[in-house]
Amino acid sequence: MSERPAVLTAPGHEPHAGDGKEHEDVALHVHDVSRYYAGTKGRGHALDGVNLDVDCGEFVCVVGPSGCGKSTLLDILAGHQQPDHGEVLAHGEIVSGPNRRRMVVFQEHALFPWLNVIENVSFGLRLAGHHANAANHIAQEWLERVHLGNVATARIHELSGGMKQRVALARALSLDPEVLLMDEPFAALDAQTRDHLHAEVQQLWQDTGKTIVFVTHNVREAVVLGDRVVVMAANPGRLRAVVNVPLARPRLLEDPEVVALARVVGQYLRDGTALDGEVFDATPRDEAPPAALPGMS
Amino acid sequence: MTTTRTEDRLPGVADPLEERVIASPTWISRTISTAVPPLVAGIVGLLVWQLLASRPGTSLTGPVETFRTLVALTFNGDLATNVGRTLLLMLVGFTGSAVSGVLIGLLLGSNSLLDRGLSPYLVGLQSLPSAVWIPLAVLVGGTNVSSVIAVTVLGAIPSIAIGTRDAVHGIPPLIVRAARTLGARGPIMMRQVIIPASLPGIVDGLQHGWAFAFRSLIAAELILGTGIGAFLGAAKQENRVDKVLSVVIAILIVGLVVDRLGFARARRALRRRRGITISGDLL
Repeated sequence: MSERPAVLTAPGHEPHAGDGKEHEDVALHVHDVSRYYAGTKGRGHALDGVNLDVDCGEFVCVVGPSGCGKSTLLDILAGHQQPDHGEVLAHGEIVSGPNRRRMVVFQEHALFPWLNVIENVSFGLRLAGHHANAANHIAQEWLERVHLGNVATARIHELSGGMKQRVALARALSLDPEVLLMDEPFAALDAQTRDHLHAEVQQLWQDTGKTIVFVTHNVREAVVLGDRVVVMAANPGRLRAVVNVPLARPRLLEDPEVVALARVVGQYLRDGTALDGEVFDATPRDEAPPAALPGMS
Repeated sequence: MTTTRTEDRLPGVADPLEERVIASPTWISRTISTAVPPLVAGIVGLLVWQLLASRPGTSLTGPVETFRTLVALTFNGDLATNVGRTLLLMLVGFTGSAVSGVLIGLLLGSNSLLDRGLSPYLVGLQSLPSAVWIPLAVLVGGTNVSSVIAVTVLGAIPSIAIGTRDAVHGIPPLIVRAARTLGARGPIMMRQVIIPASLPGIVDGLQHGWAFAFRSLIAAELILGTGIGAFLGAAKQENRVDKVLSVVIAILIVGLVVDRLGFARARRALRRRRGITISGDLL
């Protein structure tokens, strides 16, 4: 925890960390969070001094090599793990455990195989105090929003991978959380299904205005989805750079601007020296394309 | 809100329901393929039995003679009364061991301190032949039905408890984390997540427990003199090998019927609903 990478922000973005700004616009405030590997007594850092603010309604993607602690960070945001040092505030309150206001969509679908599709979606609604009828009604509505209204009574194992992740998405969003945390949710899907889901997630995000933190190892996916892309480095896990993505939506994986910006992010990802906390801001777009950056080959 | 499973799917979305349909054989060929292997094995078994019984000087009775006795015993009601009495005891004893074994297993599975403290003893008890409880049951409880039931319960609890505990330990951690995120805690977590998630494993444990309970019960009956056990003892006193073998066959049939109609069906239904059936040869 020697150097603490400050998160700089681009012009037009007010810096949040430690500037005494009111909490109301900040959905997630990650302050100097460190987490050790189990059993290393503080020697091995899964995360080392991570600072990050996520605004309300913002779509932030986190990319990094395996072992950089990006899933650990998401776990901490969800409340499934506690940081060994530092703190996480969600809407001004310290995160001390899992909460319905921060829903997680996991890499594998994590649906309940003993329930059918609509029962999976209404599970959380029932626990949140909705009566059976109301819960079913909301669940059906959300299934229709993810285009699965016609498989409500199917069993989970009868669905394809993409359909399962849609159900998981509906299950999370039906509870109307403030924050949606997504841990490589599309990593196991085929390319075509992933394209569909990228479009759907962008649409859902624009319709609902949720704050989303989306962890992925796929740089282009991060650029397609995120307002900002947080680049992490491994050993120890820390923030390396934050890249703003000012591209118009909806974006596609093969858009030239997406490809160009993804190359920049990839550069930060690979070239780990002396870039800690640096911010690359691609606005305004009529300037030199990102591909012309120094250090690019 | 009316929904259909296979019809009206989204265009462009893979439909695994349809892909998964494998050309299914007609019911006749299916019946033949399920009935022939056990039939052949049975005939081979009978032939071996006949061979063993026709050795000179043996007191073993052959299949024909034995089945004649079995039919006679079945129709004169002797066997039915005793089988009925045994099954009644079995019902009481197994229910007791199932309820307590599953409860113990759920506790051990969801509390690591209890698990570490008690599981070694449970594993020890599991390898203990349940016949060793019989003298204790007689000395403490007397020669009566409650002692027989106690032996049955004690014989089955360890395997049911261990099976249930293992089933809880086998729940994917992601399922538990998802449930926690969705707001499940404490008793709700137990009732709505842990129990349904581990149900296939619990049923496996109950199936083993049934076998253990049945063995314990017959052993206790043999010594304490009730039901089939008593009948078996009497046949031995009379030197009637055909009677003893008839009882063995009757016990086998009862076990088979309970397994096929009860446990095997429950297992298959549970697994099919969750898509974890395996069919065909593995090797």
